Amino acid sequence: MTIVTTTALTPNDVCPAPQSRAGRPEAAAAIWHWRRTAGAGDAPQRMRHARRRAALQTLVAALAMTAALALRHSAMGGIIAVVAVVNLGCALASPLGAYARLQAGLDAVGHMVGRVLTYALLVPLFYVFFLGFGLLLRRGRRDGLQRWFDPAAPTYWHTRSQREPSLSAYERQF
Amino acid sequence: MRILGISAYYHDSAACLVEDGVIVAAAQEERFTRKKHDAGFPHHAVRYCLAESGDGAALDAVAFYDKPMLKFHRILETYFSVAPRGLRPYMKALPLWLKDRLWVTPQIQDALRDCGVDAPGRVYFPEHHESHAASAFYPSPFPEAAIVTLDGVGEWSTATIGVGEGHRLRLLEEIRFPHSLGLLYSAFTYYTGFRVNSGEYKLMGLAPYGEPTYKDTILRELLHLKEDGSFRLAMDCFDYLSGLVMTSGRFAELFDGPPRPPEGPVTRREMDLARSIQEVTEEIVLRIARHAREVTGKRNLCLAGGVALNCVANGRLLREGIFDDLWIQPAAGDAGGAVGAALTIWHNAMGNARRSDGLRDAMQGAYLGPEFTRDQIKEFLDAHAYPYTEVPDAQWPRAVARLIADQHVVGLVHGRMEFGPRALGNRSIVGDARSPKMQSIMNLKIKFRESFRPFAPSCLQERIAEYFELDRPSPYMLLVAQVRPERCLRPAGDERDLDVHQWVNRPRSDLPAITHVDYSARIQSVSRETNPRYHAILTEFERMTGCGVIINTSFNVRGEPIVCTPQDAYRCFMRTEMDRLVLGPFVLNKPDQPNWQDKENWREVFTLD
Repeated sequence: MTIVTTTALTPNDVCPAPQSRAGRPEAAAAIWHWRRTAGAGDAPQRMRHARRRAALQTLVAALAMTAALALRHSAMGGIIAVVAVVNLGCALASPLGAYARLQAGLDAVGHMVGRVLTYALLVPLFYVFFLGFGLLLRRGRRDGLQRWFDPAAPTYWHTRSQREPSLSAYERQF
Repeated sequence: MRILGISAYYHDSAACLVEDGVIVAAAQEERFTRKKHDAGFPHHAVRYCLAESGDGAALDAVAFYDKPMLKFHRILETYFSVAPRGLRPYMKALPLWLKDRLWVTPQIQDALRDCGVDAPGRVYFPEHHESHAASAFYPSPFPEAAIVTLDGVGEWSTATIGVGEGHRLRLLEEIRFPHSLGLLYSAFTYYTGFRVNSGEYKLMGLAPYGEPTYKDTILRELLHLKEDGSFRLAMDCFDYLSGLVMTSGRFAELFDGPPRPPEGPVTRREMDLARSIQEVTEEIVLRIARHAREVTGKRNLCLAGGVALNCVANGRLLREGIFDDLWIQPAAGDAGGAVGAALTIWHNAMGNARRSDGLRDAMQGAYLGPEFTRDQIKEFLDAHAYPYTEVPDAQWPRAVARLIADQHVVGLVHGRMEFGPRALGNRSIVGDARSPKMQSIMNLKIKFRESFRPFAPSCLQERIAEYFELDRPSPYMLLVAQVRPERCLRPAGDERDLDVHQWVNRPRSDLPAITHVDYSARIQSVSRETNPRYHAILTEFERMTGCGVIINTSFNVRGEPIVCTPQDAYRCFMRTEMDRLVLGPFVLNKPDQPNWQDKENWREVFTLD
């Protein structure tokens, strides 16, 4: 192995950096909450939050029920009404217990519906749009990723265009 | 002026606060959430950075570390190129983009309001590699330098060459996705059974056990490498464009079978693959460095990006003498992008001057995280009735050095937490480097990690040349050099026939615990100026034993982020077979502690990397 030189260093010869200033105790306190056990202390606030959320959900459900009835979907209106009443009842009686569990269940259902919808929308998009245009581009011998070797090219480095840096350029996400 | 830098939504989220060009605080989110490589918005890190400043919660600007729309363009272009293949990554990525990532500005502003920022200020978007380059150049000691960034991928760039002069930084050339040195290395990380974006350093540690038997195959079949270090990958060997894994069936054909399953036995093949890809990586890095020297004409080099954490390649780069000197950003991965983004806006966009004296960098030893006071620690210990002994300040270094000299494994928490992937003495587990058993004890009983992995030494900066073939400081543990030959022992016989456990446990120098099988070490030099307390421990240890080197490994177990708070440290201390814990001025003795009843099956809490 070759090394450049081997000289003894002195403590103040080449110093990597000055010492950082001491950390502020307030900063440490801001991120260290060892006294707080999970969920304790803020229960009243979380109960208030849950009930407020349930009230909003009831309002939205009432609007949905009205719309369903107006469109003569009485069965749908009835289902919405039952779910809304159960939801509100749980929020009033047990906001951190029954209501939280009900919400978790509804979230899971929502998540599942979202997943199905995502597949229903995005899979056709992939095969129609990306495959369709992709094949067209490839027919035109355009490969955006430049995936092939080019032994004749002197280099694979790309020269970057130079622009004067400005705040407005950095505001753009592209 | 206060600028908040943010890196988020990929891996290793972090925040950094820069005030009038000075880095005031920086931290990775994983340290607070205890979720390794946490990719979420760095709420905790932002709160911490703002609190560290103490000047209220107003910000003048926010800098995000990449340009999301450019990245999205690259992702769409990939789908166009590979369809009808690629449905799985498409279904994984596109919903995320449509729901979250395309709306980064309002997301950041909302998240900052959650963090208590009243007026978040404008959000700016430097490019990913520009952020890396800025994190390497602006804090470096050099008034002007060539800059090389190498990582997996940013928007389109995977490697860049740039130049920094004063406060101006320009990227001149780039290699573009999908051709990426970082992704090539990660492909081998995956193939050898380690986690991508996490286990790359294990592959590097495994390399010295192997022979470069696959090097020619890699150079012939996997890539086309030009003399100037630019290259293209043979994309039929990789699956990261259209699949959810890194390598294809063709890759397996070339390298004698399927990938090693995670946690499977490490065989000769994995060792040889590790050595081969390491040598190829070094070859590419050297060629790129020569080209960078040629196109920039600069004498010094700044390095960043995930590949810059490959300290073996860094050591080789230094030894080859292509550049007079080298400075590597200690948080070279994506976390460091937060620093670079903020500094880009301050210097490059706003035109503010930069001070550099050619000697000192601006990273302050990377000690940019939270620090806990004596009173805060005492209150915690007293509240839980954990027994401790308080050591007066004047006797503290001697007391800690004595524990190490007495062959104890010591958890050390003091001062400000380090920024970046390395523990540099403030959140470290330390031990006696002279002990032949220490490597095995630390690997199996403390860290619960693979036995082949070496430990790094902390060495008094003024003594480096006495122990290692290195002529300059390595404050951030980013350079590998050989242990001096006169300290080395040459075991008889061919060690390649030995079992890895026997191989690794054979003493090969008078510092056996930190000497790797190829007689190398990943060195941290400790200076009095940067970390006086840690330096004092080493000085006392040298006085007691005649040795100015100790083992320094990060204070965590496998898969766990490095500890941040005294509480994290106490938990880790009690879960492992560590002997003593030093929390600021307090020393805790394991046998004195109350019985630790871990309610969780804690080894399952952390995903193994």
